[in-house]
Amino acid sequence: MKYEAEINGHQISLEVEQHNGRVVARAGKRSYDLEVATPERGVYLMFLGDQVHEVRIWSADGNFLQVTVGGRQFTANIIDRKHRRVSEHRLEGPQQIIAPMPGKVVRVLLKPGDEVAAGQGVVIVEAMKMQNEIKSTKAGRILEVRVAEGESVNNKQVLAIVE
Amino acid sequence: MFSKLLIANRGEIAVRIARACREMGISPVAVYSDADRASLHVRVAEQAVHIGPSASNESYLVIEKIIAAARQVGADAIHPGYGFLSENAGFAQAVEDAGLILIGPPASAMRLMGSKTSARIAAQTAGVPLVPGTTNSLATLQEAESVAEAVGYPIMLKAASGGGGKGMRLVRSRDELASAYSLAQSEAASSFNDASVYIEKYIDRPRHVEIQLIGDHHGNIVYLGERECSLQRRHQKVIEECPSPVLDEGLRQRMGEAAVKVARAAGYVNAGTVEFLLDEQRNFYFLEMNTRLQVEHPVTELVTGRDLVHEQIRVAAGEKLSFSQDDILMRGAAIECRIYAEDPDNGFLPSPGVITRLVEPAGPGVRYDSGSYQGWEVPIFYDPLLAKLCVWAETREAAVHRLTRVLDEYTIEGISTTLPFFRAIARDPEFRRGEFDTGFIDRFLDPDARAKRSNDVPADPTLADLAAITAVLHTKASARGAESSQPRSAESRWKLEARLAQRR
Repeated sequence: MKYEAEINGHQISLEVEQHNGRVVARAGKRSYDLEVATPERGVYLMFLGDQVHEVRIWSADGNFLQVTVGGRQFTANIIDRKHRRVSEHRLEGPQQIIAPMPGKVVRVLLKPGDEVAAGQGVVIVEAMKMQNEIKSTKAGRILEVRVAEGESVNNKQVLAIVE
Repeated sequence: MFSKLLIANRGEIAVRIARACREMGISPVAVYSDADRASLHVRVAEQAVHIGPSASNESYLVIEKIIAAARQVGADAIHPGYGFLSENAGFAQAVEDAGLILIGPPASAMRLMGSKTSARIAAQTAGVPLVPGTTNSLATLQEAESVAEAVGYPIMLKAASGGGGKGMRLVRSRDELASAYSLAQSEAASSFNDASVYIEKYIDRPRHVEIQLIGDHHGNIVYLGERECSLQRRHQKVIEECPSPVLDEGLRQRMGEAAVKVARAAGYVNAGTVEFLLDEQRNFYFLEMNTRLQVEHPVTELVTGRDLVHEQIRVAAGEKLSFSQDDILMRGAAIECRIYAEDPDNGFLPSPGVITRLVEPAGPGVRYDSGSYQGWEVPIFYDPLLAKLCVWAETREAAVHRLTRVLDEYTIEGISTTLPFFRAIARDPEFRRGEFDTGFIDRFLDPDARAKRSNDVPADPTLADLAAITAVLHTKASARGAESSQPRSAESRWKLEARLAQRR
């Protein structure tokens, strides 16, 4: 299957086929024939010929994956060209609704138990004299609201959880 | 020796002091605020006293609560750590008045060294060089000229009421002085409502080098070498080393003896640090004295092989220092990185949240002092120091290589940290050569320097390709997990359990 990847801001066109532990891939014009093992959640051991690369990967804020390999750090965003939809990983399980910058909560729009649609506003945070409606990344139900009106919040602070 | 010690602090230093207690057969008592109930420093204690709401000024900074906690558990002594009440003379006095022992200097020494003016006078009296200049304001241009001649150009004209790097003007020669003086005065008047200016010698590309010392109640004071702390961001230390790459044995001895003189003049007891500025000619000038144990003490412990906290406790219990000056030897080199929950790509703003994975570095020459653990939610109320990562090796060059290895092994997920920032510094040629001054970090973080580093695309694209391929594999695996018959994937269930555990 073909994918577009944005790695540290650079675009790479990918083709990836996976059969059990073997991965055959093309990145741009370069070919890779890999054996892959997963010793732990979020850790991929890539065997490229007799080279071995340990790749650690985790989901930061639902928008990007953080990838560390060979002492270097990358942010990754994957787009499935065939289905033209953004990566599924950010929608599984409870999702944190986070503040995109430090500010002050001026309104809490929903409470635990409320149904919420994807893109619906959950909390309004004011920062630098602008009000921002912080939206739910998925449809579901509000599991927790962690802030109250009048409270100051930091960048990336968890505001609410949607399940 | 004490049987019970109350640790009036939190985080990694409280853990470190609790460890010393356990090693010495002393029962450690923790204090904690609401946010810190499940913190590591509580987990390693034998008793723990709740001291209030999360805000520091309602908990860790409230003298009455700390004293009351010590009374409640019957502690003999209190260790204040660093920050919080550690340099609060009122606290030292309150501890004394309560019939308890503070692991630190007497209140009188804290007061004397706590004020910049009295500290400088004490240093001057002890015959220790200060940054040349005046602390009283200049009355006339003529006075400015004669002071500038005496101090020697280049000089800094500084606003007496200024601060935070504002209201300073560099004057390179006598020709520039007259206009600089009148401009500085009018700027000071408009910015600070006070036209007073004074003069300090301008030290170009200074190094910040400090001397660790400790004294007992029997009149012995010993210095334990220096620490190089020039790598600072906005006057906050980020990397510290021992020894300083530019000190030789002679300079170390001169600075050490000067520091001991200052401490003696202050009637100092227990651990303390005298800070100096070094100019490019390796002249040293007294800056200030810190009347407490410092964050970066581990690098001194690694190189001298001495345990400062053990020694602090023993001194406070009335024992003599367990070593003389001649016993202090320095071997090898140590480097410490302060790992903060901050986002280096977003102005180093704090990055609170749950640490979803923590892989602590290990192997030879590693010392890792941490207040965090996997699953812990980093609170927003306090300094976001997660851990101090230190390495020791036989030479500085070996220590730098070890540091690079250790930083690569160390993994923290779930929050942003300064780890990537340190990985980049460890690879920087200027850092590796040990040629830096207090301006290094700011230059390193300069947008042009950063852009150049990120644009230096390595010739081999393999790592980026592997990152991309793995990202695809991970995305597909996560999607498969979400589509499975179980209501939640393993990863998100784990996260949910961690959050629920925090709420209990």
